[in-house]
Amino acid sequence: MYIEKLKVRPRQAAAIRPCATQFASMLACWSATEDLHSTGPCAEAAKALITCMRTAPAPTRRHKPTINYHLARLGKTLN
Amino acid sequence: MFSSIRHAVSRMSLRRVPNMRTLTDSAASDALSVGETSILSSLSSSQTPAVASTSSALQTALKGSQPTIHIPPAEDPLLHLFTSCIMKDGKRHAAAARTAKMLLHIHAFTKAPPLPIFRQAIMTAAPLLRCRQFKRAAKQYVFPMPLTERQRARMAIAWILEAAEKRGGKESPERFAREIIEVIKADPGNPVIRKKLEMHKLAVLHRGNVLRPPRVPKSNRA
Repeated sequence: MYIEKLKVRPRQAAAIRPCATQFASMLACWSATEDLHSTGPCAEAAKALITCMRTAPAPTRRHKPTINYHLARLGKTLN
Repeated sequence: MFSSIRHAVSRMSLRRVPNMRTLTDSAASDALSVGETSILSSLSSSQTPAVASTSSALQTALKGSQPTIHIPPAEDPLLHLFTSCIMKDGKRHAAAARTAKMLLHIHAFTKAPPLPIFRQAIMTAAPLLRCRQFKRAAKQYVFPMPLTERQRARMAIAWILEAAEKRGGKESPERFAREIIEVIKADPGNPVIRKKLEMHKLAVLHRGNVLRPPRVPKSNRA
């Protein structure tokens, strides 16, 4: 089978979300206890998030997948 | 600024892995980035022996030969940030004078050391997250995201400066000082505290969006 323009729709690379688990647990604690200042029961969860954000790697932009470039290049040999 | 240097070192090493940088680039940015973390923690609490402010490559070379030394920064990083926020036209000395006057006013009002009061106010007013909002197909999406310490401090300072303009006082440092003292009480009626609570409440409502945000076209992204 001959495909003139060999290309795919690649999956998007998953976005980097720093400290997602600590963040989600803190929000869950807030919804349960209404402690929006994080002074009472949610103080530990807030502290965990703050320490995580302090040490989290800076988010870098990921390159788009280059599968289509390679398919276009190798299309002549594959077909 | 150097109070949690271990975090800074780990942050440097974590940051280095995805980016390919030359030695000259990393040396310059390491000297700067060592002081970036923990802007909200006080300098006096930095009792742990910290790493000297040299590049990581140099540190490994000097590891066996020299003891680690602690070099405190010239200025409190939170005050530096506050001065930057009130600075206009690049006139840093004038802004620093206003910051100093504000601290003097805080001391005059409370008869206590002003810097811990200032720090406590910023910590009380600072939100832990921001809510990115965008529209997609006539539906409003809200996506809460955590903030770094510097972002939190900057947000708190911006809100305090905005609210301080409505206070009574002949000069702006006096108004800032009054607002700082009001913020510490954490009264929900205070406009700064109200903004923080509204942001947190919005995040709690949309906490389902944290782990898997919806796809948004590039033109709509905030």
